[in-house]
Amino acid sequence: MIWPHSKMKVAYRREVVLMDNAPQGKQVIPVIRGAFEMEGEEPHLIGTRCSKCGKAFFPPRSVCSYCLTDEGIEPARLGNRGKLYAYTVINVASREFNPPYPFGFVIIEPEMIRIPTLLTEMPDQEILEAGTEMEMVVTKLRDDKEGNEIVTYKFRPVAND
Amino acid sequence: MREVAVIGVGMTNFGRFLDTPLKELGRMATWDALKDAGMSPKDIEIAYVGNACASIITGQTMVLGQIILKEVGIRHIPITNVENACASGSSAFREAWMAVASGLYDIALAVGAEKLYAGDTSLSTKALAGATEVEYEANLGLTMPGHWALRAKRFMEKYGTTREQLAKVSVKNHKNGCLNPRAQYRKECTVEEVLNSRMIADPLTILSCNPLGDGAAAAVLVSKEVAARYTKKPVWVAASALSSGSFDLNREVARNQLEEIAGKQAFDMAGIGPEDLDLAEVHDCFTIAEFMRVEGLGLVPEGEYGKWMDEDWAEIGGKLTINASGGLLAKGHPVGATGVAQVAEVVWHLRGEAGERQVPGARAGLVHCSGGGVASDTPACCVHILKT
Repeated sequence: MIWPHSKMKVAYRREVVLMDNAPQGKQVIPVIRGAFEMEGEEPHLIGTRCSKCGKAFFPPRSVCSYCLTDEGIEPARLGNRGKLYAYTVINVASREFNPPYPFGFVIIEPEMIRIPTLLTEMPDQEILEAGTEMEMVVTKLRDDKEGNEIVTYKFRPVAND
Repeated sequence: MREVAVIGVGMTNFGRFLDTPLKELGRMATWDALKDAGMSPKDIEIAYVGNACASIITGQTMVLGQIILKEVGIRHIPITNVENACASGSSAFREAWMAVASGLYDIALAVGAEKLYAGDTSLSTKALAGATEVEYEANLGLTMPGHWALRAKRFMEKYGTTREQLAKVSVKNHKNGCLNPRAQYRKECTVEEVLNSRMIADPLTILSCNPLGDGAAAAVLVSKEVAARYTKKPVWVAASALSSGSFDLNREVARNQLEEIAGKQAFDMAGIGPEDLDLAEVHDCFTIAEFMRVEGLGLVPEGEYGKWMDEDWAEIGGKLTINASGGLLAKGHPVGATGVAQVAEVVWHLRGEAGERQVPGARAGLVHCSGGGVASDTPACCVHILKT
């Protein structure tokens, strides 16, 4: 079985170095190990891709669901921009998530797969249309019980130039 | 494959019962089903018990079924605990059906029991979010209402369904709940009240969502020979189907492919079509869910349930009665119990015992539960057709 974070050494350590604004003695912990990494300043989700059919998967799958084989599967750094598919604002949630917050689906490109994701920097008074350009960021989700910072990927609308 | 009949059903009230332990709810429903069947606990040869959230809500991570059934003196027989999220009870019923239909057993018991409310709604919400792919969805903050809100947005965009049409599901089901003595909520509401009630996840308001509550239901399933010795009003299981999602990352979110699969299998097996049904209990965990599932199952053509809501065609005694019981929205949704409670409801209608909410002349009914929400798809869908 191929798991990206077992073959690719970069994911966890690089995040800790780049996001070093946590309080003294505290750690920065990704909400899912190996799910995302930084390439310089650019964040990317880490999924898998089947080299036989070209389809990508996030969460990563070790067997291609289309080819039904693991022969072509390899870890893949996925596109970090996409289009908004739908979103909602969650008002009621388990306490630690501190609602309300926006959540949605983004179709990331070029893989054209739909990702469930938190959203951020959403406009106050405006409803975003499906198809709005979105980009990935890595940012704080919450603190854990020991005061470590838990970080996650989110998508935000691309600023108009 | 043998014919299988339901000869006994039992159901507790659904509601919030802080003082009643989960095992007692299960015991009450089981005892009622046994009495309804005219059977003793020692007659049961095999049992399946459906539950989804006990591990988080009560801490009972294992062997709930055996614990419930010892309360009625059932011992030594094969007992299996069943979990398929909201379809846990339906799946337990299906297992019991398979045990008898296969010829391996003559008398089987299906129980569904749940305690969803233990004083902390945050914990209940977290337990229910355990039906998503937890690592990538619940742990990021997605909830079940959130999952369905996203599907509602896509559905409304594709079919032009309005918020008012979605709200009418809640109005209908709350009206039906008033006629159901076991329903958690027995109070009508208007479209305005539904739309203006507290927002849970846009566009789903609290009156668009199933409530948190507790309850249990049970059913006794037997072979044709045994049925003839015990009752003059057996209800036959004409079809049983269980399907799973595809979790395809490109699938159309506004359609329910797994309902299409299970619905078709059930109708083929029963040898009838949707037009032959008198009533259906369809898993309305949210108003949008009733829309998507009624259409997915083929009970109503694609995109047309909005018109059904506007024309009141799904009311009791209408073209096809949907959720005479009040559905999950008004009757309640103790997750593991719901599937078996739906069976009890249809059995009562087919026997002519449904009181004020009786669908006149009911001879065929469909029950449907679907459970979980992963990658915008539904993991499990369980459908049965019952006939006189």
